Amino acid sequence: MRRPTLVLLFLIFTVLSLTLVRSTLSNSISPNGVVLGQIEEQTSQYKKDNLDLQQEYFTKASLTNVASEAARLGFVEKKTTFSLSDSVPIALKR
Amino acid sequence: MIWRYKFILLIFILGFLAVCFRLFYWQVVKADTLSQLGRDQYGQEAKIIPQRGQILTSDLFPIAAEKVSYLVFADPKDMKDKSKTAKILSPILDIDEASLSASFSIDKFWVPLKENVDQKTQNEIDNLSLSGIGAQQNYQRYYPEASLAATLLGFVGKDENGDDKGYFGLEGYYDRLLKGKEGTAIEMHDALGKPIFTQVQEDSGAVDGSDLILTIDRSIQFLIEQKLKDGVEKYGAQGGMIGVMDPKTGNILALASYPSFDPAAYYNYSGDLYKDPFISNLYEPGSTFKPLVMSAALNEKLVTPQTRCPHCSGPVSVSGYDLHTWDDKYFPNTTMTEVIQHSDNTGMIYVAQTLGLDRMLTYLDKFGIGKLTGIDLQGEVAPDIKTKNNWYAVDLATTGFGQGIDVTPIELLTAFSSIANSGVMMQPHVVSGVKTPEGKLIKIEPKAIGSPISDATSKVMTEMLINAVNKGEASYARLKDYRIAGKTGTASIPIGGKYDPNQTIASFIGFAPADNPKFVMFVIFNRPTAAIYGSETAAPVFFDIAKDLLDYYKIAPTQSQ
Repeated sequence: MRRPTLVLLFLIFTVLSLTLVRSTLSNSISPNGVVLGQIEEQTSQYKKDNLDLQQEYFTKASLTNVASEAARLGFVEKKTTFSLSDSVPIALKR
Repeated sequence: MIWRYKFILLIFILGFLAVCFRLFYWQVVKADTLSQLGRDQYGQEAKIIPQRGQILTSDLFPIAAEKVSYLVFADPKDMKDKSKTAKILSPILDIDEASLSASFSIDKFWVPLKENVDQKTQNEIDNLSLSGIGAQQNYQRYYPEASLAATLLGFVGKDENGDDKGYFGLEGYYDRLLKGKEGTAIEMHDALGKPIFTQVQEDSGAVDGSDLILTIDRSIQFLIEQKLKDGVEKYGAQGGMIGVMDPKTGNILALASYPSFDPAAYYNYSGDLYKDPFISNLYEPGSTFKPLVMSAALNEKLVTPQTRCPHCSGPVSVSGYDLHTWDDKYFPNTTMTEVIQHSDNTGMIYVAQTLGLDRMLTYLDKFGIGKLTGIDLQGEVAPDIKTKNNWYAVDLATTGFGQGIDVTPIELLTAFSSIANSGVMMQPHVVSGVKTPEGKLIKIEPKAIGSPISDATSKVMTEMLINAVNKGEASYARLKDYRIAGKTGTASIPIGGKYDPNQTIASFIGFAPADNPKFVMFVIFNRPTAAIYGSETAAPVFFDIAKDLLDYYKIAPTQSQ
């Protein structure tokens, strides 16, 4: 009689412990709506910030902006150019 | 007793059948409705709008990109004080109070108030914490270079369902590629209405649009737009356009027209400005057409540069019409080289008549006149070329000097480019590659669309065009250090069946450096008033731009004259 009782107790203990472990794990890994919502919101905010920064960068790097800034700073169009039509010798005979 | 068993059995059978019928009704007949109700209970379906692809110039700078904007909406059923909300929102959204109040009185859960609201305004509204007012994040087209290449780009408007749709230019031609694929997502909620993480994003089916990489050189585009605007203002023209193309590949390096529009506020401009006149407008080309006719005659070996014109000593009479030169100056016994140099109409009549109608029609076809070039822009048109039976002797004669025949500027630029490319005509194109959302780059290779003339003919014609630049009426404006091939054009405009001598289309077409062309350029001014001739308007602008382009490409001078 003693052995079956022990087996029975062992089984009950095992079932209870496994149930407890499962409940604890399920509870801890179950999706936390609030946190996940915040993560999603944060991701979307980063994406939006990237687009905003991109927009700012493109506006500043545009030729339209560079030309108007150059004019404001007093830069003028280059009127003369020069070119080297023959290659320059490495050494000259004297 | 047996009837009792039977009765009980019947009751059970009927009950069982009733349950079966009811199950069939719920699970088959009403399945869709119930499943929708279920989905609505635990989740909310949302439309995932894909990000529209960017349009990048050859230096990979976006000239059309996306920015975040907001759609501000109201939930009238959730609003506490509608009149106060309308009063507060009216100045922020720039919508009158009465319109807002009308929107708030609609018996719906969702009423759109204003689209394309910027971040700053949205923040302002957000800080007010108004009940029943929300905002949905959207994307909006943004143009970092403002109206640069506007007619080339087209614009993004709305279709009949209120969704974004590209119109005209690249936005119209590549709309399906740029807009991507819309998706749907269900945001799951728990019993308390808090969002639950699911894999909806991956299963939404949304695909962002592809990016277009253009052949357009941003610096050249910027340069020609400045020069074109200055030219139109200086010569008092109604408008103008410039096209620059690489003759070896057909790459369009720049394409501009003036006046233009702002694609971000296209609705403030006349619809006439949306079309790119370089591909959509037909006009009589005048003398810029002469090189094509001369090339045809040279190619057929009917004339040589030294061939002399036997009837160039005065006006030529054809079918009762007296045909004159543009300045009423005549050069008896002139050579073909001089015919091009002086832009001699009588000499070109001789060439056209020598060529004959059959060969003229064959070469028009070979040069692609009367056909679409196939440029990848929305709105290209092709002129109708009369059938052989409808040509009169005078038509053949006037076609020799580019009158009585219609072309689009892109047609003429493409045909003329064959002279610069050893006789091979390349298809003009604006997109050099497509970058998919996965990052894969699909290159679009240049395509030859014909060889109207031989390499030898193209070389002879090039020399004749260099002579025209060096000794013709526009020689004062030429760049003395470079060999440039080109031709002026002053086309009369037919009005009410007659040509108005004071209204012209002044143009210049040419390529440089002549021996190894880097670009072919076509400059056109519509009805200039300060001077009506191409040599006095389009030619100086052409050489002014050519000088900058030769510097830009670091091409050293090849001659000193």
